[in-house]
Amino acid sequence: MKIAIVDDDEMVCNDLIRYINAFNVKYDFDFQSESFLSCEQIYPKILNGNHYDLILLDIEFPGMNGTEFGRLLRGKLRKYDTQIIFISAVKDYAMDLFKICPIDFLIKPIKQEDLQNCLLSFITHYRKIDGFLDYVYENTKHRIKVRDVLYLKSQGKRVEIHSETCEAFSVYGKIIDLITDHEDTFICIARGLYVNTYHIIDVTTKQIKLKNGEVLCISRSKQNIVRDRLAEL
Amino acid sequence: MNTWLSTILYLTSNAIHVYAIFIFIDVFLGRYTFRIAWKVASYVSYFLLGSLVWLTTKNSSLNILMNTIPLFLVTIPYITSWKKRVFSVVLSCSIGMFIDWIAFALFENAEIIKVGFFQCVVLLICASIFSRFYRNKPSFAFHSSYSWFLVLISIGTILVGFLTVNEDSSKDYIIAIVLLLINFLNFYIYNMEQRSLEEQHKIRLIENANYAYQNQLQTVNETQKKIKFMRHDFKKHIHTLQSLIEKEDLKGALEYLEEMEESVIVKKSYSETGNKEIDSIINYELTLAEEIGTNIICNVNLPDTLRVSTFDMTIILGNLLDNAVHALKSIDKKILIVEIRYNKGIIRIDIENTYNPKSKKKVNGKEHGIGLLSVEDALIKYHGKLESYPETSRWHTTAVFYNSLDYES
Repeated sequence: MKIAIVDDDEMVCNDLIRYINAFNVKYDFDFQSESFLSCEQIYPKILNGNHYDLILLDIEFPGMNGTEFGRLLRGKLRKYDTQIIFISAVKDYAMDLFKICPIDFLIKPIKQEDLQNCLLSFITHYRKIDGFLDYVYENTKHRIKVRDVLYLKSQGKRVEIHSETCEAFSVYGKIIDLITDHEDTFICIARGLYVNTYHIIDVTTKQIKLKNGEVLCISRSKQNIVRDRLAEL
Repeated sequence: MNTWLSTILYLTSNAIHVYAIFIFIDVFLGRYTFRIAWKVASYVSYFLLGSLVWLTTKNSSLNILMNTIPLFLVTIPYITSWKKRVFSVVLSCSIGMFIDWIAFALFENAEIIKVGFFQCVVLLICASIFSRFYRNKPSFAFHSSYSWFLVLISIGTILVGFLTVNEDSSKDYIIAIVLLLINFLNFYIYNMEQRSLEEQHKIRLIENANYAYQNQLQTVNETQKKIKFMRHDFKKHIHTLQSLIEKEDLKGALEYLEEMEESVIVKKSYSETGNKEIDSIINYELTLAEEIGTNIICNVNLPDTLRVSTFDMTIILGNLLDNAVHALKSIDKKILIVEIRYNKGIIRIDIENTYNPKSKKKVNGKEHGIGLLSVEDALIKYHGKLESYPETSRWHTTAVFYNSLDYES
């Protein structure tokens, strides 16, 4: 897995690389880290197809700041499979930052222990959505990555699979059977409608907004379940 | 009448009777713990048991017993107080009984009365009227201790009925009507009491809102006081430095500057979300905790702008932190952990504090529970929930709510 560190302070970048290497040794992991001194440096690399699983992103930069870069990543490039942890010298919780869906915030000076905890929660999150959903389509077994599935909708004896990567299609079966090993990843928001929590960016008491901009309604009887499940994430 | 026909008529009457009871109990008691299927199953069992006992024994006393005890068991899964459960069972049974007796006293020989069909239809009409006009408010549970009197009055009417109505008097129906009216009046008094409790609750909420305002004002006052002291000190420092420089005592001026730097106490700010009101209430409450020597761990990840009104946030945070700080005062080992986070439109507040289980929950004459009532009242607007539980010597409180108003709000 690849981690990018974006900070204009070289000392911070070096410290973080050192912490990540120590993490690799301690937990027998293989995070490859790369550092950038500005958002302008990393942006073209992503445009050229480089993928990072996690970006440790500073907020304040002389040029393009962390919030602008995060917005470009999520908006223009529609890259939601790259997770972001904001790092900053001052606590800043502008709503704009939350809209970028970071998985955490770290305040400088960053302690090795804090980064370690963040990386552990990132790994837990990553493993949850790293599996596959198996289904049978036209008598052939297929599988789809859990992270690609936006939501599942029950249509009589069929299940409609709405995905990020292809057009919606339907297969015979029940949703419960389809998500057997991934029940933690999906929330039932209405009768016969299961949403992948990974793709949720915002909820209100009435509806759920997904990363692709789609909005789905929450039934009244599921309001408690949605609230409690998201509060546990 | 043919036995089969009368049995069918009895079963139909009993089904109507159970349905009427179901309407009354369900509207009166409100929320149910389990699924609807369980509720239906429990009422069907109640119907089957009652019918079986009556058809096999034809014993009136046993029938009354089988109408009350199993009905009480049926009410157990409802989320309400024991008093209200007992009251609902006694009231529904007594009204059913008196309608029965009035019908018997007036038209004893009619077959439709003998099998109880007419009485059950009247009971169903009463229950339907009741469900149309009664509005259940789960938050104003049966609080008053006088409410047991109402239960006793209903039980008393049943006893009076037993002792008098069975005598051979031509005025039976008058006694039954009076007893029935007493039960209706009893319910009316209950309803009036509920209204009065609701008014009291509203007054308490207003008092608490005032308390929240008072808290905010106190925060502003404290901040202004600090600014005043800083200004005062600042002037003093400038004068001292000025005089040192005028005397050309540069070494002294430098030493004084160093001293100033050392004496600057950087006050820890626990919350810096950018939302001034939320930051000030958290920082104010946590400063109070700090002043009594509490070890504080605080982590606030909240956006600077929220769809939840600032006033409601102040009520929620102010009361929860206030309770935690008061609980900390009664114990030597003071630890407070505050975790507030926002994720995908959900706000979660976790507060953990050490407390003394032996200390009473009354602070400055202000009842502890009122604050939590206000918090619950504010949380309802955002479809939130509040959970509070002890664990060894620590008290955990969790509030989870949407960052948006609920349907009705």
